[in-house]
Amino acid sequence: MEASSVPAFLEMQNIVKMFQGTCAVNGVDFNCAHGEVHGLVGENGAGKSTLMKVLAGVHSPDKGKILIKGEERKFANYSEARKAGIGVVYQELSLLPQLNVAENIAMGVWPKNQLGLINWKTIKATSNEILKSIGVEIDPDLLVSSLPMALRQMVEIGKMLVQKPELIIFDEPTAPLSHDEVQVLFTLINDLKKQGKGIIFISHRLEEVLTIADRITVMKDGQKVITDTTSNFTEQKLISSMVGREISEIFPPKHTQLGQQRELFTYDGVLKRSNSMVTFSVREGEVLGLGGLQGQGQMELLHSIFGLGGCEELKISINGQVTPIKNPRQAMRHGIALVPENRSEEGVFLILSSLANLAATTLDRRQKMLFVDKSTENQVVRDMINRLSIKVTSHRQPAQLLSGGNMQKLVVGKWLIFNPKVIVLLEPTKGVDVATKQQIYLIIRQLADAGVAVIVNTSDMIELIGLCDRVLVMNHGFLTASLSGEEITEERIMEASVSNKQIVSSETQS
Amino acid sequence: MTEKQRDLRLLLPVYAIFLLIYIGACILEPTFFTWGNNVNLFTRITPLLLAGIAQTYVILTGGIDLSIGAIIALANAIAVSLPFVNTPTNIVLWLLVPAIAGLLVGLLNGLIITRGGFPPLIVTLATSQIINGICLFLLPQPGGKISHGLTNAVTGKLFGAIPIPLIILIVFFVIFYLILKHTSFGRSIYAVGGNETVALESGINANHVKVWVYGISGLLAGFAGIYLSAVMNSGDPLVGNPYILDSIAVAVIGGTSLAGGVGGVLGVLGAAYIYQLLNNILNLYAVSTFYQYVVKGLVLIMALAITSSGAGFQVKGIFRKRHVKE
Amino acid sequence: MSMNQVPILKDKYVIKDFIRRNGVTLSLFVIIIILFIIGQLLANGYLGLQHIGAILRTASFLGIVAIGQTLVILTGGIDLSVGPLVTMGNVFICMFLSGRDTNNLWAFCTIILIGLAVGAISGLGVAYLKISPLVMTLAVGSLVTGFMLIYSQGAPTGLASPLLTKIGIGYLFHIPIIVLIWILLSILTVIMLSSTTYGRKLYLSGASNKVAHLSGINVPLITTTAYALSGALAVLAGVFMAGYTQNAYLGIGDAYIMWSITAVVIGGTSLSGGKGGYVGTIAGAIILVVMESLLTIVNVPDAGRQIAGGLIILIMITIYFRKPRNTKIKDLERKKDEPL
Repeated sequence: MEASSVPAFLEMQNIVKMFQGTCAVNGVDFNCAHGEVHGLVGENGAGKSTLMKVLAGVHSPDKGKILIKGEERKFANYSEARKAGIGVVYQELSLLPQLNVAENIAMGVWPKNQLGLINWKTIKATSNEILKSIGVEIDPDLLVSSLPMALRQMVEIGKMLVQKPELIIFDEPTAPLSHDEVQVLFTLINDLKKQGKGIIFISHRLEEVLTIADRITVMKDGQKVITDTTSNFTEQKLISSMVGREISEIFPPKHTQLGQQRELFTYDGVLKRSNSMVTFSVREGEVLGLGGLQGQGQMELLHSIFGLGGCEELKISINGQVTPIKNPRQAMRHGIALVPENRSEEGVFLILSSLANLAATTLDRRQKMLFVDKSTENQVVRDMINRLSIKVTSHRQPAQLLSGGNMQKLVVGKWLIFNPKVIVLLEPTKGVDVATKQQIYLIIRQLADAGVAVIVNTSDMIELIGLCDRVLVMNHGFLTASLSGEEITEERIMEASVSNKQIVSSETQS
Repeated sequence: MTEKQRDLRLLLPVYAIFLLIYIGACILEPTFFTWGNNVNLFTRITPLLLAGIAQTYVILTGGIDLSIGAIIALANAIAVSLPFVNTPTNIVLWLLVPAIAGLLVGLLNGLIITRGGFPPLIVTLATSQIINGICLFLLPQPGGKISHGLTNAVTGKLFGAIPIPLIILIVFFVIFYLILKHTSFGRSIYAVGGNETVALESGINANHVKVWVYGISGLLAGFAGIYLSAVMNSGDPLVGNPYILDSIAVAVIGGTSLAGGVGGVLGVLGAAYIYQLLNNILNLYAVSTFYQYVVKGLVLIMALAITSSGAGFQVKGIFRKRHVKE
Repeated sequence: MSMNQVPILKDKYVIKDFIRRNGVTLSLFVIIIILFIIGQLLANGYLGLQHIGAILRTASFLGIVAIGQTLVILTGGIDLSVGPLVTMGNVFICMFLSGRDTNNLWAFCTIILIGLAVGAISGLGVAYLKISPLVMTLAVGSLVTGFMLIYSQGAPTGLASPLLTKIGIGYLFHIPIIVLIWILLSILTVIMLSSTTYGRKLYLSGASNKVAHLSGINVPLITTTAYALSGALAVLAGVFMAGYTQNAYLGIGDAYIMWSITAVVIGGTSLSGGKGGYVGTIAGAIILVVMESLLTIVNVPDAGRQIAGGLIILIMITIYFRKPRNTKIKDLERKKDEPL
């Protein structure tokens, strides 16, 4: 339904939000009316979640206005947004799993009886009532930890509804749900719509958005591309709105004709999470990309290469030799390196110096009779700092003071010093400035040229296309495509990302 | 699984073991089952129960209180330092002053921890040192006296049949169980310990909760000290020492996780009983009291090994703490 | 970006950097000097060689225990079993030696091994079973107390051997032998922490278990070793104390839990691990012992000294570990604020 002359419940005007030099949301207008479902789609990094977090008071916008019922509002935190009538259901639920359903729903509200003690009867009644209003029946005494994800989500929705919101944001609600559970959710959303609530529905599953939403907004690179009624959209049109941009970054030249090169690395295993077989290999000189929507098993797959579990009957061979990998140390002994996804929690020693960080993976190699070979270490570290142009005023300052890009260089640097045979990079340029990104691209290409098996996982489409010689796409825990050369296009990657067909072989003729 | 089922699963082992030991002891040594022996048990358990409940409250919020022993000693010292007279005012003073002292110390602990953002381990370690010092001022050696009236009152029998220690035990147990399970304050404790971010988002004042939890801990420790003064009819500055470890052990064995958010008071009773039973049995067999150190240490380590799953430090659980601005 | 402008090693920032980095430790030693001067003002002869030697000897016992505590705290843990371990070392060595020189080697080796084993048990529980160090070491301490009481039947017998006594009360070049031993151990510790691979891995493990694990470091092994060393060193201190007092005392180790932790805290080592070192702890140990002696001179009763001890910790953590409630954390959060 188009908005009438009455101001829509929610009006966001020209919202701008920057992080660390990158512009996550760049002048976006967005609105939502009572009784409508407004779908929001876009690739990873398009800015949808950030926009919604601005709305929910989690971030404050650098520019722009939020209008609720025509009045400008500023939210300092989620509580204030909630009081204004906004409710959010995130992917990571905010429930306390060790408590029961009724208590989670009543958290903070606790009605009392005459003695001042909690009136459990009322709480349970409220719980039943709210859950009934959204079409489910859950025993209020059940522990949340014993509920399946779909029901937990219902409890979370129930908890949110107690606050009587007028606008509800669903952020990727269907990701953990089965087909039937999704239908239940949709029935609920339609009920809420009929009750006059406004709904914002963020999802990667385009068919679902087309089913449930009245209007759809497509975002790309922090900007709004198009807003239109659902009837004017097809899945194809959505995809092409989401993709297609000018490549402003420069990637090092790729290699063609890689089919003849020998295989440096092969992977063969059964991913626990989906019980599916995954087989692939990396050839000499090739940069292999692993793409698809976030959370489809890419992390589990790549973590298993470094010995972090997640895969059964795993057979990895490096240069033709099958190697058992049970833990990171063993993986490293066979020359495998992992640049983790979350550098501040997994990649960098925040309170230690750049020196300590860079030297961390190669201490045993430079060991001389139990002692650290300081002169060699200093040399090696200094060389790496220079090579990567890591900006430090003193190599003793704690790493947490560095910028995101420089921190990432520390992580990459420590593995370069390690001189790996296989390197796996997870989201290597997340939150990193453009100049550093290009440096990292160059390094990746150089590694591949030098005979290192390089596997890169990124949710950045441009990166995937510009950097990789071959791209594997995963969905639901199995491979759905193996694209090389001319086949690597945004359309095909996007299609494969939502495809449900598992491919048999991951090799393509080139 | 419902909450009741989960609680049962946590409590069953504790009480099952308790019953096993108790019945086993009665079979092996019939005198164990005498009324006198049981009264003896109640009398000894009460302070341990109080300390265990105190520690449980604190651990539920994700903290720890190493000053419980010191506060018990302080309350004990104050109790025996008050005038040795059998008047009603004196009795009231004897009940109130040490308890309030304990409460204040606890609140102080809580304030330092929340305002400063310091680790509870170190803060309570430091305050325990300070309190021990104050205690030594009051009572450099074991000594002091309580009016015999009070001692008889506390260790006597109500209506000539029901032992007072048992009544005290039940009263405290019920009150602090009710607080934990049936008041908003009690539920806030679980919320804060389970996931502080979620608790804050639900409008709970986490710092407030934590300060009062340490306050309650101090209060209960105070009562334990008062009780001990009556039972021993004298004061001892070292009386609190065993309770440092024992309070933690009894809380952990009773089902409370060191990570916070899980557990409660129900298991504390069973765990305290097990501890006392083991002691009692060792005594009965004239085994030296030295073995209780070994037994206590082993029991605790076993309980920890069984229940520990990285509960030592920060267990964020299945649900990631959502980013909260500021 | 020019490649050579990064001033690292031969930089002119060296001196300034040194002071900025070690300023805290330097000021601690300045405090020591000031305290000594106060001592001299209060009691003539305080600065005499004999007296300084006695102070340092007392500090040595604490200092040795504090080595282990420093190591454990650097891994992010804590060792509350040092008290019972000191006592056990004290009691057992007297019982093993029974005042004769015949068993010296055997007794010494056995007792150190016991210390290592006990510490290793704590370490295994913490590192592999993921039990909280607080509770684990508390429980192990209880075990140790128990074994010690059982073995000695509550009434320790025996005496230090003549050799041990000579070490305990003897002098070499006018310096108490114990102090020389402490100096030796201190040098070894500082070298280990700053220049060995193990020391480096210790810091890495303490700074972040996770990152260390993902960098190929065997975190559980490093952690267990730290606890084992702490056990051995605590026992060692007890042994030397026996040399000094010749007899065994059951309560002798009790105060060392608080004291060793206080010394480490004063020294500036972070309780969350990964930052700090032993040099500060040395200063901390000396400061504590000197303060104690000053309080004695001024006739502050034992109670007052305990209170002072607790207050010192509170003051030190306020100075060192103030978490500015919002600022620093906000900055960090903003850095982590990556757009999805």
